[in-house]
Amino acid sequence: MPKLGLTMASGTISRWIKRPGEAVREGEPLVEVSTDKIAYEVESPATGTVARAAGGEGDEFACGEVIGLIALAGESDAPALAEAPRIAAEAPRIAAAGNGARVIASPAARRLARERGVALSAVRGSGPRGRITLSDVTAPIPVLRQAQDDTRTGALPPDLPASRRAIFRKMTEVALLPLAQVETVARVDAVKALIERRRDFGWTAFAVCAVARLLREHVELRIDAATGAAFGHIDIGVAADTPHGLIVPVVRNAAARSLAEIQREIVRLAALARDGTLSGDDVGGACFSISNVGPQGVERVVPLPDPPQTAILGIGAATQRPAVMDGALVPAWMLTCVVSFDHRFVDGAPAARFLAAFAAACADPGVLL
Amino acid sequence: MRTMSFSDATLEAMREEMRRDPTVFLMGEDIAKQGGIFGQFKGLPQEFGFDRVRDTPISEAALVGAGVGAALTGCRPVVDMHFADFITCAMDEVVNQAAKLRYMFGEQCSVPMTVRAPDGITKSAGSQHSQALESWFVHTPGLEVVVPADAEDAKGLLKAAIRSDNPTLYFEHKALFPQKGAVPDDEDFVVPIGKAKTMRDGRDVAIVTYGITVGRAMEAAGALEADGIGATVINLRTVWPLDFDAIVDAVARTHRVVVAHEAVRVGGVGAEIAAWIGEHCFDELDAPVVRLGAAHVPVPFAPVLQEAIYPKAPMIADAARRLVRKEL
Amino acid sequence: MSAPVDGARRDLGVALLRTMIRIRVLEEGIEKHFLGGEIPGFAHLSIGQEAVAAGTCANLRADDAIASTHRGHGHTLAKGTPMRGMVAELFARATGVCKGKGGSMHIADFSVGMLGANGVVAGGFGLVAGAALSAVQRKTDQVAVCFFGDGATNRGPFHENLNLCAVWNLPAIFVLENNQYASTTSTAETMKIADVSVRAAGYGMPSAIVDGFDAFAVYDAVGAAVARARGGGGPTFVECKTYRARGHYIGDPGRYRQKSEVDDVMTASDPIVRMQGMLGEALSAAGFERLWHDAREELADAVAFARSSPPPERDEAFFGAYAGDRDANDPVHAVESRERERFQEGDVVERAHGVS
Repeated sequence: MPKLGLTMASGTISRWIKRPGEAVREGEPLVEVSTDKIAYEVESPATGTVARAAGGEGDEFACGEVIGLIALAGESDAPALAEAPRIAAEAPRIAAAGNGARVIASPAARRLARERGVALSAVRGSGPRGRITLSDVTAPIPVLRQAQDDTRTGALPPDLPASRRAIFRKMTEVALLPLAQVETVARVDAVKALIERRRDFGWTAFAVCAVARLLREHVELRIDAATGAAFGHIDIGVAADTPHGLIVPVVRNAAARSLAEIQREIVRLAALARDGTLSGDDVGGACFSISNVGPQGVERVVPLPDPPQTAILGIGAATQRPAVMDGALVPAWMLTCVVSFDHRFVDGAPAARFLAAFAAACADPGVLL
Repeated sequence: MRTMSFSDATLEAMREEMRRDPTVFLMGEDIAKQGGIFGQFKGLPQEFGFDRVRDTPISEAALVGAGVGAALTGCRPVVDMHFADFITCAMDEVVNQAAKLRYMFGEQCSVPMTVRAPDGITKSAGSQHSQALESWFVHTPGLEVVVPADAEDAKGLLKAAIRSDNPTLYFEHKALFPQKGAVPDDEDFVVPIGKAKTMRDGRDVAIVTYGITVGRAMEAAGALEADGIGATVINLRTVWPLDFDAIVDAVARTHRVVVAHEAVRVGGVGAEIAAWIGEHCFDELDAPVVRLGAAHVPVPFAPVLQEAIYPKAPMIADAARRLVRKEL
Repeated sequence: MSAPVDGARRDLGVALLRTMIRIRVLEEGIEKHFLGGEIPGFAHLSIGQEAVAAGTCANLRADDAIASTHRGHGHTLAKGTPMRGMVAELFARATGVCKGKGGSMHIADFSVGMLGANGVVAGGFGLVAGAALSAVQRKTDQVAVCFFGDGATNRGPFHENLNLCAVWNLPAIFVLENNQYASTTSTAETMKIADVSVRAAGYGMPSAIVDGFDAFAVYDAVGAAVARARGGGGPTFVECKTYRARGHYIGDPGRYRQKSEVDDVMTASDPIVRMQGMLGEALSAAGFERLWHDAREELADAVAFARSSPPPERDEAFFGAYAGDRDANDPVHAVESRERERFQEGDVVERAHGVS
């Protein structure tokens, strides 16, 4: 079982692609495994015949445990193989590359792998002498589903669908957090007019753009719960509803990107999410997320931060509502905005200032763009 | 914009600066009557007089020493070395005097002198007339060192060097003198010292270079484009002070770097740049920094030998290609 | 011998004597404080050669230039540099004329035309040729004087610059302090000629030979050279026969000559005693004593000033090589700031340059 992420301790076999008796070439997809974040296709490390699968679908193995054997050319699947016992978790025989052997990787590849939580041991290097290079780390690893197929079965309601297991576990964690919210209703006539005039961005893109730029200064709203200090990069998660369930692709370096760029990126990510073909590079590592229930026509959502993020913005549909201006009743386009935050790291006043600044950006988008 | 030769660009710079500032004067061997061996001083004594454009005896130490003395006392001398190789005959004057007086006298004076030094490999001039010695002066605190790559640089950097209050070495490659290029019309067009120019942009590899090698790098970049490889070419223009921001940007954009110059690779300016990239941009590197420079031999006379020892476009393109293809 | 002393000549003589006594007191003080450990580096004394400095500089204006040698304290003081600034510089204080960055061998005061003592033997010739050329370019009547020793006349720049000044007719005066020893080699060992000034003739330059212990003689000879230069008559070479009473540098054991030689020469030729003799009754004993007294007070004040001055700030080390405002955000000053920052971190690059 390969170690596919910094924090991965175990993985579950989702599906054997090649079964015992089938020939396989080095580099061909061999087995699909999943963790609580991601499902991966693991490539065969050798050319030969699959001699044995040590476990079946749904079986969990610790990282480093043997999950199968490949007979190389010339070897027979003799009785010796058939008797090979399932090896206990405490003595991994086949070392994952992270077990003492030095991984050769370029400095840039190491940096990116570290930032994305990708295990270099799981990456095939295409550089000289097997050096792992940047493009090897960013190569799309097909992410079929996110936060799904958590097949650990302890302490779960018995009829809970498999696809909900990971979310269930995560939300159990979140339930323990001291969460608080600040809320405001922002006037968005100016944003609506801009959307209609330019026609090259939508509400989510606007929110991402405004939030990213505000987060440059509002450092207290992008604290990493794992370290207690601010995230260095401004990557914004955008909650997406897909046929496979909730997934949160990430718009990288959003503060440096224009509104139109952000819109294009959101469209791209949404398409990949729908098809289930987001890459490992597209998820994870966000410093703040946005949940927009506007497309569902609902005015208000109180979202929950996605650990290790410590704050999140929820917006609903922009609707025309009665507003009072200079004592008169006028129709105005309004947007309900809620910032939820983990009070261990974020206080109400900074959250309120942030939300006020967001509302100000809604009233006068030109300032921020 | 007008098109003119590199040597005409330097001539125009001299003329403009001598008109602008009466304390600017020029001295060197064979410049006034002959007009310079590349014609780069033609017409100047006729306009400014033989007092402001002086032929000196063959006395490099006195030439540079007097340049320093005049610079200390209210003039802005431009001293021509004839061939950069002869700076060696005035090393004390450049290194122990020009570079140090301001500092060791506690900033009581400055040395606004420009030293022009035609350098580089061309036409079988042999080992004593073909050197590129800029790294010696990068290594000497107190000097500025500029190396123009084309006619625009030639004019803009010479004006900057003359206007600079620091002692500035201006290395002009002999083979560039006839090369034509576009030069802005503005009489106040000055190329700022210490700022590089991005000649072209590409995402796959960066070629950091200066002087005559810029043209060779651009040629290489053209060949690389045909192979689907995008090269960024950085023309440093100044080798001290180095434009580290431009270097960082190029490394961050491409993650693969070739540093190239005609001067000997060992202990050359490229060595400083490569080491600096290793220190400051380590996490951006997807491959080792490759340095190209002349072989560690004196420059030979026979054309076939001369041409063998320094990097030209094919070698630069080859290095870039191998980097991108992960062979290095 | 010189003219009888009265009137203006007497005043000149007293002025020359005052300068020589100040130089002597300063040099003896430097010797004492160097041996006492308060002056770092090297120091080269000019005791015995005071008449050359005094006689030459008395002819010069503040806007005339001089270039000096590693043995330059006398020239520096005679040209008008304050003693406080000089002593503070030698004591490596921030209040030194060079902010503590030059020391004895690189002492300078551009405000009085002193273009610096040079640590490279023969380093001054080019500077003086250039200063003289500069005067011609800017069409002023300034002149430039180069002080140098016999050892410098064997170096290339001596020959190149004398030739250049002669052929270009520059307003330069070359004042040789022929003290008959370079470092440890006597002139007899290093040149085939007895009078160095024959070399000037080789370049077509007029020359004079004077008794370097006689301040009047030096004054007159250099005065003629200055007048020639100012009048557009070109350069002159003045050879002053003198003697170095102390070692090449403080601490020099002087094994290359006999102590009796030193004593004999100084007894016969101390320039201060000579001038006192030449002034005769034109200067009273009390007047003579007062000159010494005033000089000693000046030195004591300078030493107290130096001792009470702070050393330079450590960060000063990283600045001052380039012209312009050191806080300017231009590339050349960014270099200096970056070096300073880097050395805060012990010259280790701790953070990657701002790549994000």
